[in-house]
Parts: sequence; structure tokens; C-alpha cells
Amino acid sequence: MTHTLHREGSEESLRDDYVLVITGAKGYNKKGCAPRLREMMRVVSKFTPINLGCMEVGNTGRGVPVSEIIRNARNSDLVQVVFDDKERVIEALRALKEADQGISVVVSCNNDDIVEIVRRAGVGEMPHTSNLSLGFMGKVERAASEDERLITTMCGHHMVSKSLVGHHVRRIREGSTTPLEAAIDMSRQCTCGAFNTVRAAHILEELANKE
Amino acid sequence: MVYIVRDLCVGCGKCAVYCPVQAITPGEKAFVDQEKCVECSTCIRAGCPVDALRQPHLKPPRLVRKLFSDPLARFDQTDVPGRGTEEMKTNDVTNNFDHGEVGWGVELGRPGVSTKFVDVEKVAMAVARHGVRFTDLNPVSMILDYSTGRFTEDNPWKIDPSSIRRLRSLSAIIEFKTPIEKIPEVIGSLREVSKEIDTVFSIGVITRWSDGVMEVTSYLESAGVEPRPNGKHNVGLGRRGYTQEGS
Repeated sequence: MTHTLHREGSEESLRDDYVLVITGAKGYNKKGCAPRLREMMRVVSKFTPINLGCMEVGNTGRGVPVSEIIRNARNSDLVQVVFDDKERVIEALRALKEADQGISVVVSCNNDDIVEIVRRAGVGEMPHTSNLSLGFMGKVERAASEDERLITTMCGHHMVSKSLVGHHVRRIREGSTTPLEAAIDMSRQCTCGAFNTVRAAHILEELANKE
Repeated sequence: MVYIVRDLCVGCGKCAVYCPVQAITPGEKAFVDQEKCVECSTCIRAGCPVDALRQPHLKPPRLVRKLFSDPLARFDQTDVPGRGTEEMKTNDVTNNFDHGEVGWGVELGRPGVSTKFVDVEKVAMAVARHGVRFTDLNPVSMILDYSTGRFTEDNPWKIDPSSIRRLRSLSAIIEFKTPIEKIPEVIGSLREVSKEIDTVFSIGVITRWSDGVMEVTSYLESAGVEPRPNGKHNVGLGRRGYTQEGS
């Protein structure tokens, strides 16, 4: 899955959005990798991520305790860890490098930031491989509006509906929920734990304040 | 297929709000449009207050909707949860994408529109003309004839191609790779076929780095395409030989 690739927003808005994905490679180091995934989760959880989880085990955004996620991780899991601060990402990567578990790590972030991140974390001079989004084509008028996509694209599987965005924006305007409560509800729909609840709350607040 | 027990439904409309493809019409008794429904189970997970939603065990071809739409439905063949592959996530270990190559992920139905499979086939046929190498172990590849991009009966469920074309899912990712020089021509074909479909597709490209820059940069410029400011970056911490599976 291309999980976080097509997140939309301005460069500025995406500056607080970092997702780490940790997973074994089928046919190479996946079989028997669960203890390594667990150790890597223990390492990154010390840097207070916004969200952490594996798709079939659950994530902190859906209310599953970190200890339970770590305990239940399996060889086939894809670990997702969300941060809203570059410095913590660098610290977490540095710690993962020191832990030397030999399992692949992908960082989703602004492309202009990645070289600085890997160099300052001591991981290398440049990434090994990158994945770029070229946007989308076709019947673009059938897609959600630009404002709605700021939120809906934060779940790569599109489990967060555009109707839910409109519903929560209305409720925030009415005063019957807060941006953070609304963002937490949305993050529960994202089964893999890549949803950035803090960024979503900021966006929802901005949308609710729009005329 | 997902349906609502009418005697239980209290018409609160919650399921309709959470449905990613607007397949549920709210009302005194909510109603599921079975053609639009992609079996993603989001409505079930949202939690009906009176437990009026049902999703019985599915069989092919309806099952295929769920496999391509519900991230918790697993393709046994890929060993990856969700409808994708490991693509570049483990490229530091697998080296599936080498220098001079570009990986492509063309995801029909994304963002959030859903897709009929007839459109998946149109796009697959458009890129197959360039002699692309489709990704093995990708769920869409499993239903394709690699030489033509057409659907084949030789798929895991033995479904007739005409039945596959009538399917709908939240999205379906066509993955392949080409030599890097083919970027402008493949993008040209994608632009053309985008006019023939009734949905959208997102495009992602996978590239290696050389001399501190991404190898695709100049090719994307010559194709008149500007990437979004954010992307995914494999930082190179993976190694072979660390587990039971290592060589």
C-alpha cells in the first residue's frame, strides 16, 4: 500500500507531518522478524509519537495501549509511527540506527527535509530509495473538495469519508465537539495508525473558522 | 454484502456519514446501494448504535470487492495487509528497483472516489503497450495478462474477465516498472487514458538516488510533471540475513 504518499496540503502544513513505516521484506528478512519489530517499537515509543500501531493489531489512535501493540506484533506486520516534530524524528531514527535491527524504515515527510534528516540522524548521506506523488488525473470533479482532501488523504486507505469531514466541521461550528475530539474520532477509522491526529485537529479548526 | 436490518435501524444516519463512497442513503430506515458498496467494512467499524448492520461471509466475485477495499482483508499471496505490496518500503533489502529504473504505482479510484474494474483494465492496457514489467505479488497483477494488460481467467478466484470488469472497489493499484527513459511516454499514455475513465487515478513513482539527487528529477521535468512536496523515503536501515529468512 502507498499509505502516506498522496497526503495533500501546503508545504507549510505538511511540515508537522512525519510517518515512519517499519516492515520486514518477504523472502529476505520477514520470517522471524517479529522480535525485531517489537524492539524497534520499544525504541521509537520513547520519543512520544502521536500515533503508533500495526494494521491488524491496532493503534494508539484507536485506543490500544502501546504495550499491547508491541506484545501482539507479528512477522507480517507493518508498523506505522506518526510524529509532528522533525527533531523527534531525527532522534528516533538515530536510536533506530543504534538499535541495528536490520529491518527497513521509511520516512514520509517533505522531500526538501529528507536529506537533512538522514544526515543529522547519522543514517547516511541520502535516502536509499524515494517514492514521489505526481498527483491525480481523470474525473477530478468526482473527488472530494481540496479542503476535504486535506483530511481524507491522511488515511491512505481512504477510510475517512468526506461526509465525516463535513459532519465534524458542522459540529465544531455548533460547539458540540472540539477539533481534537473530532480528529480523534476520525483517527479511529484509520486502521493502520498513519493518521496524524494533531495535524487533523489544526485543519479542522481552520475549516470550521472558514466562512 | 453489507445490509441493514430494517427492523433494528433507528434512522440515525451514522453509517451514511462514515461510508467513504456514499453508498448508504440515510432516512427513516437507511439503505445500502449494493452497486456502490465496496465492502470496506468502515460502516461496521464505525459502530452502529443498535447493531443493525450485517456483513455475511462473502464469496467470489463479491469477495474481491472486499479484498481490494478493506485494509484488514489480507491477500494471502502478498503477505502484506491491505491492497498493495511492499513496493519501495523494503527496497534497501530487495533491490526490486535498481539504478536506472523507475517504479510506478497507478492507483485507480484514489483519492476516495472508488473505481469500476473496467477502468482498471483500460489503464493496465494503456501502460502494457510500453512493455512495462508488472509487479508480481500485486493483487491487480494477479488478474492481468502481462503482455496485453487485459484481465485473464487465470486468476486466484477463476473469475471470468467479464465478471471482473463489473466489480467495484475503493481502489486498485497497478504496479510496474520501466527503464527511467520511458517516463515521458508512460505519462503521455496516462494522460490520454485518463480521459476515457469514469474515475480518478493517483500516480506515484519510485526512484533511486545518485550524486545526492533523485534520478527521476530531469525526466519528470521533461514530461512537464511536478511532484508534490512530500513523499516517502526508504532511509536504508534494512539488511539481509538478520532473521530466519535471511541468506
